[in-house]
Amino acid sequence: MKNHAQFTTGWALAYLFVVIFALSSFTYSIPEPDHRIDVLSVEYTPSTATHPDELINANWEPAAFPHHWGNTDHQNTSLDEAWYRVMMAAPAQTDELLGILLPSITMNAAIFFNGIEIGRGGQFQDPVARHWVQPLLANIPATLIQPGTNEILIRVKGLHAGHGSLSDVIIAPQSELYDMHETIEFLRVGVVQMITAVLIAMGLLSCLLWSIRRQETIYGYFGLANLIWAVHNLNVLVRDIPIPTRIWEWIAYATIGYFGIAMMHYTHRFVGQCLPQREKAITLFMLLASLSLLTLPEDLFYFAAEQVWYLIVFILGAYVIIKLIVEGWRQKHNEIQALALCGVLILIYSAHDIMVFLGFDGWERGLYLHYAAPVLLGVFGSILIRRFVASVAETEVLNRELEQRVEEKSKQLEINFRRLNKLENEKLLAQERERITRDMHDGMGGTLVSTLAMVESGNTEAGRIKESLRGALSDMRLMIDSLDSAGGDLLTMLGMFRERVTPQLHNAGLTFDWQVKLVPDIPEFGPEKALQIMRILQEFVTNTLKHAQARTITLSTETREEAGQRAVILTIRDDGTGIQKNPHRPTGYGLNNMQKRAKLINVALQLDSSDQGTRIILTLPLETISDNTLGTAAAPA
Amino acid sequence: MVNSSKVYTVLLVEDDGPTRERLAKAVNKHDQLQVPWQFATLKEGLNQLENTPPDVVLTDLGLPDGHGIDLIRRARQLSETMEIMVISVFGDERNVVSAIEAGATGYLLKDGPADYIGESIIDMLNGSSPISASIARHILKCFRHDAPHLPEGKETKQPEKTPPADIPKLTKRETDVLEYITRGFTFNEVAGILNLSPHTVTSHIKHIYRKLEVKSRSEAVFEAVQLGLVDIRTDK
Repeated sequence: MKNHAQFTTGWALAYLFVVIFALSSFTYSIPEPDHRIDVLSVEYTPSTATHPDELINANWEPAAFPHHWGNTDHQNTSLDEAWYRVMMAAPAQTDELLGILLPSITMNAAIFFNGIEIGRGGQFQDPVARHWVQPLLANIPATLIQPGTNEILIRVKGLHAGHGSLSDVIIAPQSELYDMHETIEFLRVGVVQMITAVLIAMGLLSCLLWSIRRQETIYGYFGLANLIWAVHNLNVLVRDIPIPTRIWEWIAYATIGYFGIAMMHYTHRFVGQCLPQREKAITLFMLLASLSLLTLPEDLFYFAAEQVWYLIVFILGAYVIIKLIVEGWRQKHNEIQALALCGVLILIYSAHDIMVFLGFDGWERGLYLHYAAPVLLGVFGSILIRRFVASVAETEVLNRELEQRVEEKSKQLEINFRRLNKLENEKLLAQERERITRDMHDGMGGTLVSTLAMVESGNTEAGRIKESLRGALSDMRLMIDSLDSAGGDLLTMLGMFRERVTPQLHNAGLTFDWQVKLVPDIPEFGPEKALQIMRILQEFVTNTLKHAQARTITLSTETREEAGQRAVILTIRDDGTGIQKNPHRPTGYGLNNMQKRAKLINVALQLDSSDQGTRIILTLPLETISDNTLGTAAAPA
Repeated sequence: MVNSSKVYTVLLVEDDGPTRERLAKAVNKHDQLQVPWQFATLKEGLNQLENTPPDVVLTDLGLPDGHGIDLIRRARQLSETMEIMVISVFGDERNVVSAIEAGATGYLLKDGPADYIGESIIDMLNGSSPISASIARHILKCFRHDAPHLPEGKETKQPEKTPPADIPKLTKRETDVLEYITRGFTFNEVAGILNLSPHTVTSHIKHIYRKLEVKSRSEAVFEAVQLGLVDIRTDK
C-alpha cells in the first residue's frame, strides 16, 4: 500500500483497543451480592430422578461450586443428569423476600425448595432447553421457609453424558438478585444479540458488495464469514430450540469450522495469495469431516466434536493466523498485522472455550468466542471501508488524470488542426494567387502590353486604343465576377455575363436570346472553371460581333443524359455567316484558345459552323469522371 | 409616377473630384434632374439632409470622414419616400446589398455610360429599382437563411432566441422573380414568363429592397436585445 504510513496512528489505536478488550474480558467477573446467605453444605448425586421424592435412596457426596461433572468424574460419565442438595439455615430477619440465582447451568435446571418446585428453565426432554450462559432466577416464597435448616434441591440436565455443570447457587434478597440477573443477562445475552445483529448487517452488506462486484470475491467471503458466525451465535442466544439437540449441536460445531473456511479464503485474498488447490482441499476436507460428525452415535459424536473437530478447526485457525502474521511481517503491512493480532485474539478465546469444554477451566465465566466478533468486525470493517475509500479516491484521481489527458490531447489536436488548417489555407491561397496572376497575365495583362506597344509604336488611333482598353477592362470584370461568391453557380455566372455583354450587343444591334433553364449544380464548379467558361463565351461574343454579321446570339442550358452520363449542356450560337464562308474570319487563334481553355478545366468543347451560323457546345459532366474519358469526348467537328 | 413638369433635386456625395464632376454633369444633363448640392464628405452630406432634404440622394460608400451607409440610413430615417442610390463599381455586390439593407433603393455603376445615369435615376423615381443577377442571388441568400446571423455559438435552439415573427419574408412570387433574375433574365423576360406586366416586376424589386431593409433592421434590434445592448421592456 502506497500510503499505509498515514494510517499508523489509527492502527496503533486499534492494537491498543484489541489488547484492552482481551485483558478486560478475562478479568471480568460477576459482582457478588451484598447480602448473600451462606449455605451450610453442598452435595451432589448423579441421578435420573425427576422429583425429590425419588431421591430417598440417593448416594449424596459433597461438592463445591463451580461444579462440573463428566471428564473429571470417571465413575458416572454415562449419566447426563444430576441433583444438587444445598442446605441453608433460616435467615434471622424474615421481612426481606429471598431468591435463588443460578448464574450458569449446563444445560437446564429445576429448583425445589423444601420439596416444592419454585423454578424451572424450560423442558427436560429432547430438545432440552439450553441455558449455556443464561442465568436462572427463582423466588423463594416466604411461607416455604421453615425455622432451622432448609433444603434446596436442584435438578440439572447436562449437555450429554459426562457433560453437565452448575456454576453456583446464590441465595440472597430478591432485589439484589434481580439486578445481578439483569447484569448477567445483558452481558451474556444482550451484548451477543447486538453483536449478532451487527454481524448479520455487515454480512449482508458485504455480500451485496460482492454481488455488485463479482470479481471481488474477498467481500463475498467476508460476508459469508459474518453470516456463519451469526448462525453460530444462535447457540448461546436461543434457549428453547425448535429442532433435536443433536442437529442443533451439530450446526453449532459445524459453523465454527465453516467460519474458518471462509476466513481462510478471505485471508488468502487479503494477503494477495492465490492458492485454489489448497483452498479446495481444505474446504472439501472440512465439509466431509463436519458431515461425518452427523453419522456418529451420540457418545462418539460429542467426543469427536469436542476432541477432534475442535482440534481441526483450531489448526485451521492457527494456519490462518500464522499466515497473517508471516505475511504481515514479510509485507510490512499494517492491515495484515492488525488482522493477525485480531486472529490471535480469536485463537486465545477459542483456546479458552476449548479448555472450558475439556473441563480445564471454569464454567462460571461462560464462553468467550462470540465476544471476539466486535474486534474482528471493527478491524475488518475499517479495512474494507478504507479500501473502498481508497478505490474511490483512486477513481477520482484517475478520472482527473484522464480529464487532463483528454484536455491535453484535444489541445494538441486543436493545435495540429490549426496548423494543418493554416497550411491548407496557405496552400489554397498560394494556388489562388498563382491562378489570379496567371489569369491576369493571360488576359488583361496581355491586352495592356499590346496596347502599350501600340501607343509606343506611334499607333495612337483613339478607336483602337479605346477598344483595346475596353477589352482589358472587360477581362478584369470577368476575373472579378469569377471571384464573386456566385462564381460557384453556373446560372448566376451566366446572368452576370449577360449583364456585362448586353450593352455591347445593344450597341451593335444584336438581340440576346436567353434560353437558360434550371440545371443542377455542377460539382467542383469553382472560380477557375467559371472564369474559363466566361472567357470562352466572351471570345465567342467578340468573334460574332467582329465577323459574323449576326442578328441574334442564343444562349441555352439543359441537362442531358448520354450513355448513363448526366451532363449540363451549355450552348451559345449565332445566326451569322459561319466560319467557312468568311475569309476574313481567323479560325486559328480564337478557336485554339477556346479549346485550350476548355481542356484546362476538363470540359468538352464542340464547335459547329455552317452558313446558318456558328455554335459552341460545352458539356459539363454532373458526375466527376476521370480525365481520360473526357479528352476523347471533346472531339471538335 | 414622375411628374413630367417637375424638376427633381439630387444630393451628390462623392469624394473623388473627377468622378463627382462627371456624375453631376451626367445628372444635370437630364431635363428633370438637377444637382444643387455636391459634396466630398459625409459631414457635409448629413448637414444638407437636415437643412433641405433632396428628392434623390446619390452617394459613394467610401468617404474620407465616414461611411456612406450612415448617410443612407439617416436619409431613410428622415423620409420614407426619398430615393437613395449608392454609387458602385462592378464586382461590389456585397456593398450594394449592405446599402440596400440600410435603406438604399438603387445603385449606379460609376463607369456606366452618361445616358444610363440619368435614365436610371428617372426609372427609380418611376418605381423601378435596378438589380443584377449577383445582387438577386445575395438577397435570396439573405432570406433563405431565415435565422438571424447571431454571433458564433449563439445558435442554440432556445425558444426565446427565435427571431420575432414580424421579420418579413419573401412571397412565392418575389422569390420567383429573384430566381429568374439570378439566371440572367431581364425584367421584361421575367414578366413574360410569369405573366406579369413589366411594371409589376420592377415594383416587386422595390418591395424586396424595402423588405430587406426592414428585415435587417429588426434583426439588428433582435441581435442587440440578445446581446443585452438594448432593453426593450416597455415598463420603463
